Amino acid sequence: MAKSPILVGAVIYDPKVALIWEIIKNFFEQRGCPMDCVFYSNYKLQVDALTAGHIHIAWNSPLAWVDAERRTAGRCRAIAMRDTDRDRVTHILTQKQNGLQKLGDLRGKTIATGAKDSPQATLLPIHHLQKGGLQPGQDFAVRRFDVLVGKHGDHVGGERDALGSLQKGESDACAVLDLNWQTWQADGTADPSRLRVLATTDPFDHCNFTVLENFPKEDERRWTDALFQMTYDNPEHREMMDLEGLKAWLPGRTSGYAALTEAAAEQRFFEEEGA
Amino acid sequence: MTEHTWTVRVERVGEKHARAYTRNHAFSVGEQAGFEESDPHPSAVEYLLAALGGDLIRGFETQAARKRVAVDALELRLSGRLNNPLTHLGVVGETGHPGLESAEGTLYVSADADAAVLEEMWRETLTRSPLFNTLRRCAAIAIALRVMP
Repeated sequence: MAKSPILVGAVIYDPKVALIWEIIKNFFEQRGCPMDCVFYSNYKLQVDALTAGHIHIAWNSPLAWVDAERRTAGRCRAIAMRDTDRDRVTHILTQKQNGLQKLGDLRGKTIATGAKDSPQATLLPIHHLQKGGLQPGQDFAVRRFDVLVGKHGDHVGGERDALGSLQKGESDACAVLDLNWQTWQADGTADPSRLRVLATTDPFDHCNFTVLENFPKEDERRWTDALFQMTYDNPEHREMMDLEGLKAWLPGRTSGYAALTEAAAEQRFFEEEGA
Repeated sequence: MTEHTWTVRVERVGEKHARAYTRNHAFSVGEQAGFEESDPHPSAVEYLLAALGGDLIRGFETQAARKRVAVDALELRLSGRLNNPLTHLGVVGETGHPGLESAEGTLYVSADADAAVLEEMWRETLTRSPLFNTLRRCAAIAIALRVMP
């Protein structure tokens, strides 16, 4: 009898993202590990589905991981992640000409952020400012760019709008993920001769494949064995890995979510979401 | 009212490949709505837009013949959008529908006639178009006429 497919959930905001998952699905099928994808419009629905047992594995944003851990009282685990999900940082950028030198100089200023549920472009940089003694709404104003809320900042639109706000002089600083900062310098979106990194958050981890505690270890091993067969050296795999932005799949780890867990609690994110 | 029925037979001939047969013609259809940069076959959505474009080009040609207007060149560029393509992919939580929401484009015409005459021909083309009159009842169809020198 054929093995039943493992159901993997993913949040998608663009039909082209579905194409990546189609390629991944075929990759698993070819390795005798049938898999089906279930797509969600937002992470809340995906975590609902994971906790209700409607899907086996969720490709979770860091905030969705924090939410899953919170809603299951820790009875879930991260089984895999991209190499690029580990040790990310967010930079707080300013215009060189505005003379801001240190975090404290942001007092009384306006900081542009991404969507309200973006870990990298809102929750973590605000947390970093709070740790530095600056409270949002009191010591600095937040100009938020809520693009595609529910997708946890997967869509870089809000983050790019925040950068645009800094570049137009409407804000004094903005928060951007290191990878986006690199990309935008390379493609000309951001001019490094005009902008500077004022501050950088501590490293944090990004997405992971999340399962519930009761997901059978045998199925997990079958699925991760197939996943880890994907290698960047193989030209057939490289296109798929480039689309997902990684060079290697790694085992999941959960040590990189502490700051986000604190940030979500401090900013009362889930209370305000009514979750 | 005279009735006339057109019949098309469509069969699956391979993965993501259907073949349509009508009268003395056969053509391939690929995805329902393709999102790749390239595909082996046109998608159903592209056939829909192409059918509308073909209908209007042929209709304009008919009007030109009736008015004895010599047409040097005729080209239509048409773009269409679905209401929400994510509902076509079955994304849980998305709202809307996968149907055609709008199509817009421009008919470029170079012909030996005044702009007013060409405009009148274009209006008549739209009035008599089977596909324009079908689609405009369910989607926003906006196609402009542009007279080229």
